[in-house]
Amino acid sequence: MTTTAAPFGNPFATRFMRPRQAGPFAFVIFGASGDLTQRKLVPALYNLWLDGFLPKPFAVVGFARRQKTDEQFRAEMTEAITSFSRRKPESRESLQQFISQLSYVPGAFGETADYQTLRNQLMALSSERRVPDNRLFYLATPPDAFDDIISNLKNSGLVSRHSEEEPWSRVIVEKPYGHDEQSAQELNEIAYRVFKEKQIYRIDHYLGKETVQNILVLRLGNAIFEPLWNRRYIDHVQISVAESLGVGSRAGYFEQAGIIRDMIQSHIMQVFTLIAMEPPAAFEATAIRDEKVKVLRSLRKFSPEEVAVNVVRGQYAAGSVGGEDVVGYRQEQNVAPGSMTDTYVAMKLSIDNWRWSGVPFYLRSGKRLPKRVTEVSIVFKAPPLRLFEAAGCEALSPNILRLRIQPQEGISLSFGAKAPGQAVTVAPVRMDFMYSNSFAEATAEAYERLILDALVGDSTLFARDDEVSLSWRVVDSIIKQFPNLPLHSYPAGDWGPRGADEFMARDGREWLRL
Amino acid sequence: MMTPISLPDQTFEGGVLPVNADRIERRLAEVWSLATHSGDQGQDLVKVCLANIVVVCDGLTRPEAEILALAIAREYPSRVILTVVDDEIKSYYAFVRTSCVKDPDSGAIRCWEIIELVSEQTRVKSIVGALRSLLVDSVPIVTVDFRPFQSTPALDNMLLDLSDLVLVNADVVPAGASVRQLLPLRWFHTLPIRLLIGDFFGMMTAQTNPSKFTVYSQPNRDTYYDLMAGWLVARLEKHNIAVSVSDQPTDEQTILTIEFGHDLDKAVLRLAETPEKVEWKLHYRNQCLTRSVTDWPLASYIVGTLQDGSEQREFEAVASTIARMRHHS
Repeated sequence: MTTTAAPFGNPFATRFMRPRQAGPFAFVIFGASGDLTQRKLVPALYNLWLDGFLPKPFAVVGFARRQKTDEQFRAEMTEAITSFSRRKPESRESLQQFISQLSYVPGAFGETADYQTLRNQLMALSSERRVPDNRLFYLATPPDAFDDIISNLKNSGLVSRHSEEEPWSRVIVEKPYGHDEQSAQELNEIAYRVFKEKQIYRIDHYLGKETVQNILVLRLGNAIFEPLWNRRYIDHVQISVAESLGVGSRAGYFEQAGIIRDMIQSHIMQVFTLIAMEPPAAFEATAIRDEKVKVLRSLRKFSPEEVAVNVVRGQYAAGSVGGEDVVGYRQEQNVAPGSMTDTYVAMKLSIDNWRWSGVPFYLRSGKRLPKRVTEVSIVFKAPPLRLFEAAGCEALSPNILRLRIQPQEGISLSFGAKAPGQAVTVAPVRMDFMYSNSFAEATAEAYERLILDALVGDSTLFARDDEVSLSWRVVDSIIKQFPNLPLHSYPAGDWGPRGADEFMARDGREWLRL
Repeated sequence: MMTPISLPDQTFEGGVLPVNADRIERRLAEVWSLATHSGDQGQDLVKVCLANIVVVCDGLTRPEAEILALAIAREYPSRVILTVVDDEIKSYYAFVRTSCVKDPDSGAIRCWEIIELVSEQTRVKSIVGALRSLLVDSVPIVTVDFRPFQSTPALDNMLLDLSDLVLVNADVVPAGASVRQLLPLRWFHTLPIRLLIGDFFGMMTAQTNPSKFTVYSQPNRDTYYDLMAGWLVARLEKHNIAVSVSDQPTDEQTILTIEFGHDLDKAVLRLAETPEKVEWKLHYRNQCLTRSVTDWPLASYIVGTLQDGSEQREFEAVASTIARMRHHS
């Protein structure tokens, strides 16, 4: 009888200086010839590698239709890193060490034989580099390629049913995850043929941003904020995602989607749920995502009449942004002359629960606004007693806690302080924290954080199936009424249509200047 | 006249002062005020101090102490107090400066302050009072002492008492000192080796059971073989694997060999030094894993240790193991 010694394992593993190092893996990018791979994915992997977050044996395989060799792919990715990485390569040798881990398999998403080629490549790499069959598939493709890719992954035996135990398989899917609730569920059905929910990582890169992650740390890591985080102290919340750019080359997609699908259903809803959720029982994926889903379930549903009162749509016309004259949306390339697509949406949401009853959440997003900025502003209520009016002070500015997500990630709190002088004059002042001023470590790009999370099996910052369905449900109920909602024009370079200001003014409030 | 902060880096010097905490603080405030109004667009500076970093040195170790003082301030916005105890300097003075770096992308300006306290040994007691007053409250205190011997009890005991983390070069610290979080710098020097061995075994996906670890002492160079042996024993506690120390190295550069049982399979860890770089190389079959000693600079190590208590815990376990090994030998 032979006995096999238990594997020695690694008693020398340490997390010091590399708290989240991934284990060995192969990373397969479907759609590797596209922009996302060059601008985001490979630079992110490179920076993870530089920081020691990737293990020594790993492999990156690009899979796309264009015919190219490994060398050509590596040359392209070298150029991509040089152009788009937040840190430029320090030496050719060091870059070469990373690039040598990349390879390429030309193939069509619908061609089964090409997946066999991919399989052979992965097996060869596995054997040569002692990389176990842990595989992370990244679908950097349009949603209509999903079905072909998933079916062929199933047929080629490339996917294991494990999400955590080796050899594991996981898949990252880019937004848009469907274009409505039904299509999102159809994508789920396709994915479930091969993957379990735990293996599916629906990426929203906003969740990889430091300040977005900091929302929970701020709320739950500091005793002073959570007691104020409710209807007793908060007057309202504003969430703004402003872009100065126009639709650019994305008109083909944007014409069908509009800003409500492009930004509100995804990024803004994610930020909104983090702001509004209850503290989770544990800082782990299931507990956090459960609380986010509860917020979505607590949202007050709009009747068709209420949509007209609580939602404003707009579309940019010609104007001037940053000193440059720009055309209107309908004059952009590939946009229909009579297009009724929204490039601006503002809405007021209400949450019917004990914490938030009576506190409106104002969400807005738009293209061709004066600047690119994403910010969450928590506007607190006025003090119950206006002590300083007797001393001649005018109404005080409210306390506002601003979470700036981009650019210049940081947090600021504005409050009133006595201005120097004989009289009691209260002036607003700001206390600022900016990541770039307070931490010398450069903030990682969102994709670096999220890819590493997927590699270590942490799905906290990825959207779950029910989250996605519920956010689509909210958005679908609004989109359904769009034919009945006027589409207000606004000049490019303005902060949106006048209707959006009037909509706030009705509530006795105004949009904060960003 | 202060020039605007339009250069990538700028230092504002406050000049030489007597060792008096009040005067030092006032001068720093003046320098900060000048720096604040020097931004191109009157941009406000945010002064952030995440720690007190006290770096102690003598004349011989001053160069490496200064390197650390500059490096750590850049990486971890702190008040850095460089304390020089040097009998060659028949003097007693303080010097203050703030350095500002402007981020070329965001335009944000980050500044830090460095205070130098310089004294001959006989006047060190006077420094102690000033140093205590200069420590910023509510943030951690880290002391890094580069001196080979701690010979100023008033200063040494005060720092050992107040500091949250102390890294020392000296092998012997004064008796009676209350040691809270003490890490020898030699322990830091083992970091690339520990990480290298961890990475090596992380790659061994086949069932490969080592049978013996041998650590080689190198009497002619700064060594940490005792710490390595202690670490290996501590980590291998649950495995029945021999760890031995040999004073018969196969060559000058080999520090560790790992034998894999009956087939004479062996991994060898060597130090490779050239004028350009110093690297640890682990050779096994046709593979060679390399780690440079500069992969983890001391400044980054200190910041990492402040943020993660695992290094202190690990060292405590190793120190306890070494004490046990000595007791039994």
